[in-house]
Amino acid sequence: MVMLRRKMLRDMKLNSTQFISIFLMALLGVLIYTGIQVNWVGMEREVNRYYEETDLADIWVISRYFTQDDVDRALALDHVVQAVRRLSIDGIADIPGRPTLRVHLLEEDRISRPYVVEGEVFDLSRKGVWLDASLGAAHNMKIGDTLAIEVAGTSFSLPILGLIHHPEFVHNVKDDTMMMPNPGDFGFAFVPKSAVENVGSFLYNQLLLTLNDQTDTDQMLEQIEILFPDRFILQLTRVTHPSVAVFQVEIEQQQAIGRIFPVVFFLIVVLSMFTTMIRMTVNQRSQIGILKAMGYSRGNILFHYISYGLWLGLMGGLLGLLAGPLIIPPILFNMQKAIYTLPNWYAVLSLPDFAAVFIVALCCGAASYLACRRELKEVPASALRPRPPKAGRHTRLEKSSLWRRLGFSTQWNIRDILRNNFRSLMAVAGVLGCTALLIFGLGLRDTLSRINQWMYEDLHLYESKIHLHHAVKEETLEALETIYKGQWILESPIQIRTLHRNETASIIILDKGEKIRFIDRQKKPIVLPGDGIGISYKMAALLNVSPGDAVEWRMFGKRDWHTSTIEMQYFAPIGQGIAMTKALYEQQTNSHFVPTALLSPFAAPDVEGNAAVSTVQRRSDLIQNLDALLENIEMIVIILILAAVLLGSVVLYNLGTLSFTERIRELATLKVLGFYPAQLEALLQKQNIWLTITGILLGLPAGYALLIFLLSTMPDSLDLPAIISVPSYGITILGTLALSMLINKILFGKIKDIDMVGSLKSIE
Amino acid sequence: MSLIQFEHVCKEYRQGTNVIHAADDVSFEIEKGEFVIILGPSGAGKSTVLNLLGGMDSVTHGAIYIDGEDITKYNENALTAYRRDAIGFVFQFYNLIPTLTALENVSLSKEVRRDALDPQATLAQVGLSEHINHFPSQLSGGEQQRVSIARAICKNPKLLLCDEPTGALDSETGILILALLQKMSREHRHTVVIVTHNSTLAPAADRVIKMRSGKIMSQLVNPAPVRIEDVRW
Repeated sequence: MVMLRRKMLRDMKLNSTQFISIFLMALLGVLIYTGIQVNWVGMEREVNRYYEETDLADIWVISRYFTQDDVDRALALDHVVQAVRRLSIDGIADIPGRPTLRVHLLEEDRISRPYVVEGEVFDLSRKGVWLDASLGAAHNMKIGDTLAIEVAGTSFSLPILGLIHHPEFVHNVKDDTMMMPNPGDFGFAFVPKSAVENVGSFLYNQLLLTLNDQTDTDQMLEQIEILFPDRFILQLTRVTHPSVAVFQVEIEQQQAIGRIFPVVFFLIVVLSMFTTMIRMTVNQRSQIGILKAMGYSRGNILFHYISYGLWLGLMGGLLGLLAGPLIIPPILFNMQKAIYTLPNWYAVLSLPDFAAVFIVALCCGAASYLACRRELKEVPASALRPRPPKAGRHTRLEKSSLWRRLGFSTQWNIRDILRNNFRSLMAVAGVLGCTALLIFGLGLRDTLSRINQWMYEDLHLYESKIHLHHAVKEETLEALETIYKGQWILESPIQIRTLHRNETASIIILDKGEKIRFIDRQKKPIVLPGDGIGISYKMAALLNVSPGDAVEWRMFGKRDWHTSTIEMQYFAPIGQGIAMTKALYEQQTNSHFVPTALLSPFAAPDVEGNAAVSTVQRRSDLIQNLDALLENIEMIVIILILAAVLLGSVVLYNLGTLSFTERIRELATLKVLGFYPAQLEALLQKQNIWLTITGILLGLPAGYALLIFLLSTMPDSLDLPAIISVPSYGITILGTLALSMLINKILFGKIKDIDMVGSLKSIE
Repeated sequence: MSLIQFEHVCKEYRQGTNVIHAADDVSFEIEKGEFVIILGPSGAGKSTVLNLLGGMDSVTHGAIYIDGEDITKYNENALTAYRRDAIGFVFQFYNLIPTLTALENVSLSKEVRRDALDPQATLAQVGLSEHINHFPSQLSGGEQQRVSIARAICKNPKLLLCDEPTGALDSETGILILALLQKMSREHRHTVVIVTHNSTLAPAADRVIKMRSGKIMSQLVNPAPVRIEDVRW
């Protein structure tokens, strides 16, 4: 049907505004969907490849020590393929800045092997160190340089033989309170055990296992638990290992975002297609009639109109498929490279990307079908006669006495909205989408930028945190306190459980002092009680417990479980767990309080050469870390704002031109009657403002819901309540209103040019 | 047997509670190759009869035989095939597709009918070999109607049905169009049925059917029709 295809192309050219806007929306929808899809699929594929290539462990068992016998016994378990032990311990690299170095001493390298970026292949027989490539770059360390490492009270120097990445350090941070890696301050190193044999003897504190494929990990954990009845062990799996889990959450988050936003665009595409095709087929009523008279079958004509949608969706979708993977991944990768370390970053096309194009084309086709079905139902003879005008119906409102007091323009607009209810609904939907995207983007920014204030103004009131080595003598503590002042705390990972749930969390035990404060959900200060523990809201939710309930917990390195009653819940944006006083701790555990850190009021305490101090975290560094994360978010916010503006303007402009052509006779009549252009403009602007305000009112809660949904996909360690600031509300509401009025103003330019005589004459 | 036989055809429209008898017990016959005029004032039911004849609408009761086959028994598919193969339509307002050129409008016929004539040759036949690449809006009314006729005869139909073909034209152009239709009928043995309210045309027809209020008033076979150009306007 060559002639019909020509007709289609010329119709599209004639109504280019509508069709281009639909095309753009289809393009954008597919672009965003495939852009994000290829991004996370690529990340997932690469990280899995990376884990496989380096034989990442399936289970990490952490305790005080593991003997060769322990390794053999683990190896003897069913389903265990490999078992190796290693030492993982935090030390200090003796270079300017004295960064913390997580040193791993390896006996074997069959599991969780380092991934060499530069230098020699990792070799157990060599005497040297393989250093974190990021830390190396931050400190300008090169292969061949000698690195001095202080660890567990001793020190050794070795040449750097290789610069590496490691699959357990994809998210390369010291602990889960840090969101951005800081290679200037923290890194890791792998050293063959034979290289430090003369330094002293170390205990292996980690046992790594790989399992065969069809293993139930939970059952495995129970078996391992039974294997070591004599000591407390902490077990991590690929679900709970911090780096592995955080990266997995990142992938899932992208998955979630990649599904929601295109749906907004898809909906708009389908709705615009529908309205445009309704108008098109109504206008081409007599053309449909003549085609029927000529003997074109219902199917021929139906397919002709469906093909408008199919082609448009297909073209927009294909272009989106082409552009998405080219545009989006470089932007996202750039941001993610600042947070995660992977050997390679690439995008991968998968079936859903092609399916998206197919679905957009089909949806557009279906919308066209639904739109033209009505015109095709009639017999050809009546299709050639003009459609009888839509009967003007009186609404119940018009019968009320209120109606007469409304004035002409209000009456006219109410009738117009009711008569064109679908078009009005579309306008509201467009504004709704625009508002929701804006409030979502700005709210995301507000929420994340609030973290700093919560953490370092409301909750943590110290200037620096001095971390101590294990088992520091009492006299040393007293000496430290006289120099640095402040408050002692004991922090540790813990295992926490109820009858039904079991979680890994952290505990903080406070000595006297006021460097750490607690607040409730309403951000009101609360006091840590002396007769029970406090639990963070998110941890309470994860364990499904509330005040009055008891939980069992035990500290890393200890064997015994303790039962404590929850007396208070507190808000912790980062790092979930429990808190208690020193007195309660000593009473419940029957053990002595040995602090792990001192919270000092000094911004830059001089700890150089102090043997008891392991590292110092300054408040300014912590704030900087979060600021770096925030900078990353700015890009997303800008993209969201652009998408919102585009969405709003395209939908409103499209509908505006559409309603303009439909109302041209009505407007010409009003003009003939003597309405001034300014009066007509006010008339139309009134309706526009009504619809826009409705859209905004609906869009605000929709955007808020989107924000809450996104925050719920955050890792378990984060508890971020949605925050939307007053300026964000202001920008969103005024911005959307201004955009809508501006577009209406542009459209109104056309009304001035209405030719009264011409538009009233042409009825055909 | 006649080419066309209307037998007691009724067509009723319902408008609210009123029933309108657009065609009321209409019976007539038309022979192959005849140049027929259906005459009557507006609202007489002429267009209804033409639409029924062209398979554009369904009868309320009665039968319409075309070459011995009752088209009122046809389903939608058969009716589409009938319109496609047997009928050529010409309308008062030309009803060209505005986004297609003259040649493309005529070529539409070729897309639905395999035995269609060459569109370009057909346009030449109606005297329009010059502006074939113009869009309808670039053509005069008479030229548009010629394109419309070319589009109809391009299908090489059994029946050429014209609904007030000169209604929107000035009289001089109207004469040219009607002369063209008469020539088609004479030279190519096309059966042409023209609906009009202009009774001066009657002498030019082989058969004149007069209608009023949905009923046939008279049927007249003219043994010696004159040429359209010689009709006194």
